[in-house]
Parts: sequence; C-alpha cells; structure tokens
Amino acid sequence: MSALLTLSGLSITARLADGELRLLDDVDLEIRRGQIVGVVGESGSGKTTLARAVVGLLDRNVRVDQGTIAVAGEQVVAPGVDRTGRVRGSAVGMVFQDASRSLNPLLKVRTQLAEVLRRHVRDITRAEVERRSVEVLAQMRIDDPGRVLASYPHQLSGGLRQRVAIGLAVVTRPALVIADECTTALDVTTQTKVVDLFRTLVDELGIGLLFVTHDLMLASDLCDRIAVMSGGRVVEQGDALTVLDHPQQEYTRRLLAAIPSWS
Amino acid sequence: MSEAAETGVPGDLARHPRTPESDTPVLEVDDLVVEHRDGGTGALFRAVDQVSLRIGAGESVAVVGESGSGKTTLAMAATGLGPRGRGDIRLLGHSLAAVSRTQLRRLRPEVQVVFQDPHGSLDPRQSVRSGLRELRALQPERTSWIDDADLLGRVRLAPDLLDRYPHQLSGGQAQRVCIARALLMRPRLIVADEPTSGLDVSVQADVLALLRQIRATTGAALLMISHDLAVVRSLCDVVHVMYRGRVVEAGPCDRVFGTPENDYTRELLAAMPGARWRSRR
Repeated sequence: MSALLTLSGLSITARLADGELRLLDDVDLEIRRGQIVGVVGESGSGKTTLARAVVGLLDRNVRVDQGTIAVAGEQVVAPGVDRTGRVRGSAVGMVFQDASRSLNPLLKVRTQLAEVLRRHVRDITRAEVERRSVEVLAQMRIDDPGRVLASYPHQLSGGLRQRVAIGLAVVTRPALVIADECTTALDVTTQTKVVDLFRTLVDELGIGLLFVTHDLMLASDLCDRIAVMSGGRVVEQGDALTVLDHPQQEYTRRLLAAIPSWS
Repeated sequence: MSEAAETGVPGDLARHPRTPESDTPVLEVDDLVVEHRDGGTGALFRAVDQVSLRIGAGESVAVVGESGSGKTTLAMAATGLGPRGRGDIRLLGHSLAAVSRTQLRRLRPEVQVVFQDPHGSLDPRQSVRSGLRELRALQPERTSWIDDADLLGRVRLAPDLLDRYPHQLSGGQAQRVCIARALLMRPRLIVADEPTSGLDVSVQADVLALLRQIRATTGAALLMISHDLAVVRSLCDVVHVMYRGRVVEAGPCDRVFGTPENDYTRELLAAMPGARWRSRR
C-alpha cells in the first residue's frame, strides 16, 4: 500500500543576504493511512520548514535543491517544481499554532466553512454546505454547533477556536493533515482535549497526520512514529515509544535528559 | 476557614510551617483579593480570590495554574508591582499598606522579578554593560559586591557578552542576563514568572539548573509562577495550585503531586504530556 506522504532525500536552502543556509538536509519521511507521525525538534531544527514545504508555503527566498515530496503517490514537489497548489486545502489540510492565522476574524465560522467547502467541492449545494459544516463541528466534539457557526472567532475560547481551525482543515475530507505546533498556545487541559481529538479523527477517518511539535513528551502521547530533527536533518526516527526507550543518537539522548524528571 | 472547607485543603497545609532556621518570612500574603474592572461591561472580575501564602527565608514556592488562573496577578500584587488589592501583604515583615515611600524604596531591591520574555524586559537600546551601569547607579552600595565580568560568570555567560545589545543575544542568553541583573541586587526573594516558557527544552534545562544553583549559593527565596508541573517539581519545595483566582490545593510538591486531593489538581496532572511513556517506566 502506498504512503499518503513521502519525502525522499529532501534538501531545502534559504538564500540570505550574507550567503546560503541549509534548512533541510536529505530528509526522508513517510506517513501512511491512519498513522500519526511526530516531527520533534528545537527552534531552528527545520521542523516548520518541513511542514511548510508539504503545503507549498515556503518563503520566496527558499528553494528545493534535491529530493521530492509526493502526496498519495503524486509528486508535488521537486527541484523547480511546485504543484502543492493542487493538494493544499483539498487532499492536504493544515492547522497552525495560532488559530487566528487559520481563521478570518471578520467572518463568522459558518461563512468560513462555507467558503472552504465551495472552493474545494464542485457544485456543492447550500443544504450540503450546512450539513457538512454541522457534521464537521460535531466531529470536533463541539456541543453546540449552531452557536459556534453563528459566532465570530473572537467570541470563542482559545480551545474552541483551535477546534474550529481543525474543522476547517478537515471539512474538505483531506487524506493528510499537517499540524504545526497547533497546541502550543493552549493550556495543558485544553491541549489534552485537542490531542485526544486528533487521535479520534485519525482513527475514525483513516487520515494521516503530520504533527510538528517541540514537545517530545506530547509527541510520545499522540504519535505512532517520531522523527527527531536537529540542524535540518532527521537524526533519528522510528516507533514513538521505541525512540524514547532506546534513543540511538546522542542528540535524542540529550533532548530526553533536558526534560525535567518527574518523580 | 471557609476556603479550606470549600477546597478540601486543611488550613495548616495552605500555610505550610516555617522551617526552624528561618527568621522573618520574606513574603506573607493574607486573604488577598484583587479585582479588575472589565473595560467593556464595567463588571468586576475577581482575578485573585482570598489567597494566602507564605514564603520563608530561602524557601522555594511555586504557584501553578493555567492562563487566567490569577497566578501572575497574585505575584505582581505580592511584590508591589501590580494592583495591590485588599488583604495584607508583608515583605520581610513590612506591611505594604503601612510602609513609607522611603521604606518601600529600601525594600524594593530585596525582591527581583524575572519575566517570561527576556527580550521584552531588556532595553533594546542598551548594551548589557550599560544596563548594569544604570542599575549600579541606582544602588551603588548594594551592587558593589561584584564586578560585571564576575556577575556574568555567575550566570555562566562569557564577559565579551557585556558589549552586546539584546537583539544580539539568544533567548537563553537574554534570560541569563535578566537573572544576572536580578542577582546584582542580592535579593532576598526572586520572583520568576514563567522564566523558561518559550525557551527550547535544552536551554530551559540550563536556566533551571542556574536557578537551582543560585538558590543554593545565595540563600534567596524563590517564588516561581508556572504552568509546567514538571518544571515546578524540579525546582520548588512547596506548590500552590490556582484555579479561577483561588488556591484549590497547596502543600509540599511531593505530597500535592503524589497524592493530590483536589479534582482540578488531578486534572492538571492527568493532562501532563508524557503519561503514555512514563507509565511504562
């Protein structure tokens, strides 16, 4: 069975005023259906570049040097090639750290969901837009979809806003969701609910999830596999608990040792 | 007391006993209430609701809670940096409501605050050296115990950083500079408000080790404000758990985290990332 997402030997470079900077260096990564893969690293490790490359949101001074990205077997990124526009928002949904970056503050939730649906589902009827909007909010475990649909983002709590942002990402029924530090700004009790929600969505819908985080412990709770990044490279990857139980690389060991002990 | 009845916290745990060797507590807060008026509706909002806490000399006390719990408002009130509200606050035995301006000026340096955003607390137009010079001019006698290079050494920074400006420092370096500036005043109490949030985990580990070392070598007490239970447990003796303005549980970290008595404390503990992996060990 083919993977939902395949990164093969991906290298990405940024052109800066005083030279060039390698952001990603020969990265291999794969996500299968029903799988959550955590990309874990500290700031500057390249984890956000990786996530943004998949959805074609790299800065203009950044180019793909080598390697490819394929979504569901279709090559979307290669040197000089960017076909991510074909999959962004449709086959690939995305959720960012700050829900306000995914949500338009001037539009009610209902309008935003309708816009996304109309953009990606051809000839969708009004009734169908409403039905799928309510359905996706229910999937987000939102108790009163009617109130939330009629609300502006600022009228919702942070946790609710993030769940709406996830709803916007999955309402088009993508095969793959990219989540970049999407629980970092949330309180821990809210974070837990969002993380549980992701697990349920992946299990119920059979989608794949790329979960980018700085928090190795959070990744260990949620993810099936973990890729540890440092200096643009994936230094280690494997089954989530195995990587933590038996880290093979010095960097992973140091990352683990830096976590305050709990006992 | 009614708070104990409502939260299930025995009163004597909420006000943990002083250690025998301590003399005057560095900070005592009794029944503090701080209210904010909502700008839009004009309604009164109780950010801190009947909170009492006591920090003995050299003790390390944490206040944990989520956003909006009132933990920062409590710390700012207790140190005289924010609205003082109602209730009694005593710094080194002096009631903040009763001290003269002169006394307050003398007390201020005894409490130093380290904030979450180190770049936000440093003047972007000042080099590290000129920032320290300004502090020394304010308190010449108090700060004469150490020179700049040695001071930076205490926070494990190289002396050549003295000529850097804040934007030339990493987050971890900037936070060390903030801690050095606090240390310079030889405070009896260091208040650290989320001092490692936003730092990478390896940098966080260094800053926590530094705070631990400072406690051991200077004997300063620590009031740590944090949402991170693991950080708190690694650094503090006593923890107060805040929820919606109230302290719902307080006591020694090992007791509160080991056998929590309050539902919200249990919820916080359950939400700690890493349970899946830790449960296997």
